[in-house]
Amino acid sequence: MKPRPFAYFAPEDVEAATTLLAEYGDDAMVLAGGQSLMPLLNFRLASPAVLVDISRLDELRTTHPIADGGRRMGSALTHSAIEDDRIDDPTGGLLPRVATGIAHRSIRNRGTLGGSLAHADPLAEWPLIMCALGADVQLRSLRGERTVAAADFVQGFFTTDRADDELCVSIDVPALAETHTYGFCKLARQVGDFAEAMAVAIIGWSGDDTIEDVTLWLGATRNRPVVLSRTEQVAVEGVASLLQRDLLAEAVRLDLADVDELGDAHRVQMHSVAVERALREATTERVA
Amino acid sequence: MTEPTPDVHVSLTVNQHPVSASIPARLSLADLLRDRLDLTGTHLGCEHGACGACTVLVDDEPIRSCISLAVACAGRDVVTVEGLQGREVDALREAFAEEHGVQCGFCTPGMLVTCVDILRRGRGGTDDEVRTELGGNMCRCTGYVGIVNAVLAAGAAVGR
Repeated sequence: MKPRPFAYFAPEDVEAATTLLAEYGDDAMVLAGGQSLMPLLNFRLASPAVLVDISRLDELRTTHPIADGGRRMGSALTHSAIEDDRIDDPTGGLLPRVATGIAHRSIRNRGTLGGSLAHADPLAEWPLIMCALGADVQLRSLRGERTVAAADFVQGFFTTDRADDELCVSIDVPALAETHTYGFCKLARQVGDFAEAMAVAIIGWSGDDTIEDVTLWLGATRNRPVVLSRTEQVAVEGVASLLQRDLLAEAVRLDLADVDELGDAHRVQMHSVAVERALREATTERVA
Repeated sequence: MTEPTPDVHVSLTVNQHPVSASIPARLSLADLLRDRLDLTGTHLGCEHGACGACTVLVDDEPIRSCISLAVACAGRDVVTVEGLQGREVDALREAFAEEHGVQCGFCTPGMLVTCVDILRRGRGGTDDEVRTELGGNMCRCTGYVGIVNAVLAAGAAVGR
C-alpha cells in the first residue's frame, strides 16, 4: 500500500459530503475520479487525514439544459461521458473534441470535469476551455451555493477560489452560437501527454463572413489560462493578418509579457504555433 | 488528528464471483486483486497510472487498478485478464499469438483488457487509430508493431 493511512468517507449525497467538508476543513481532500489525486497519494505528495469520496454521488453526473441553449453539467461527469457526447454538448463539438485528447481512455473513464477544474493543473484542458467559453462554476457548502466565473475560479498553479468546505457541484457551459466557430490546438509529443502548448480560439462572424469578435485563450502556461487581448485584436483586424505569422507571434509575445509568462524562446514559439493553429482552424470553414 | 479508518468490509464481483474482504481503505484495487485474491494476472508496473499494465474492467470500462481504491469499487463488477470472455477476447488471444504480440508478457494483461474495450467500442480500424487507442499502454520490449497488427487482425476477425 503506497498512500499514508487516511479516514475514508463515501457520503451518500451532496449534503453529507459538504457536512464532512465543513467538519474536517483543510484536513480533508475530495476524491472524485482520482486520476490526479491517487498518483499524488501513491507518491505521498499528498497525505490528507480525510478522504471524501464523491464517486457515488449520481446527482453530480446529471446534465440538463439552461438558458440560451447552454447546459448545466454535473461536476462528476467523466471525460469519457463528454468524449462520447452523452451530455448533449452545447458547443457544436468542441467539448467532445477536447475530451478525446485528455490522457487515455482508461483515465478518461474515471477522471471528471469538476475534478480537473478544482485540481487546476496549469497543463490541463478543462480550466482553459471553461475560461474561454465563459462557463460558470457552482460551489456548494453548508453555508449555501454560489456561482463563480471559471476565469475567476481558476486562480493559478493548482489554486482555485474553492473554500475548504465547498464542493464543486456543477458547471454551466454556455452554447456556442451558429454564428461562431472554434479552433483548438494542443501540442504534445505523445498521445495522451499533458500539453506543451495549448490554445483555443472562438470567432464570431457577421452575415457577410467578416470577423466580429475573437476570443483567444492560451493554456499550458506556468500559472493559469491567459486571455490574449492583443492577439485577439490582431485577429479581429482581419483574416489577412491572421496568416501573418510574425504579426501574430509578436502579439502573443507581448500578451505573455503582460502576465509574466514569457519564458524561453522555445516556449514562446510553441505558444505562438498553438495560437496560430487554433486561429487557422477557427477560420478554415469561412475562408477557403 | 483524525484517526485513519479501520479496515472496511467490501463486497464486489470479480470475474463473475462474489467476493467479500475486510481491507484497509488505502488498499488499491490492484493490491486487492493480486495480494488478497491471488489474481496475479493483473500486473503492476509504475503504480501511478502511467504504464497501463494494471488495466482491468470495472462495470465494463477499462480503468487503472493501481490508482483506484478497492473500497471505491464496492458493489462494482470487476473483470481481470483471467476473467475476460467473449468473441473479441478469443480473436485477440489468437491474433496476439499469430502476430507475435507478446514478448516478455509483462504488459500483455493490460494490453488485452484495453484491446477488448477498443474492439467493443468499434475503434481500432486503422493502424493510426490502434496506436492512438493504445497510447496509454507501454510495452518496454517495444513490441508495438506485433501488438498493433494483432489488434487489426482481431478486429477484422470479429468483423468490427
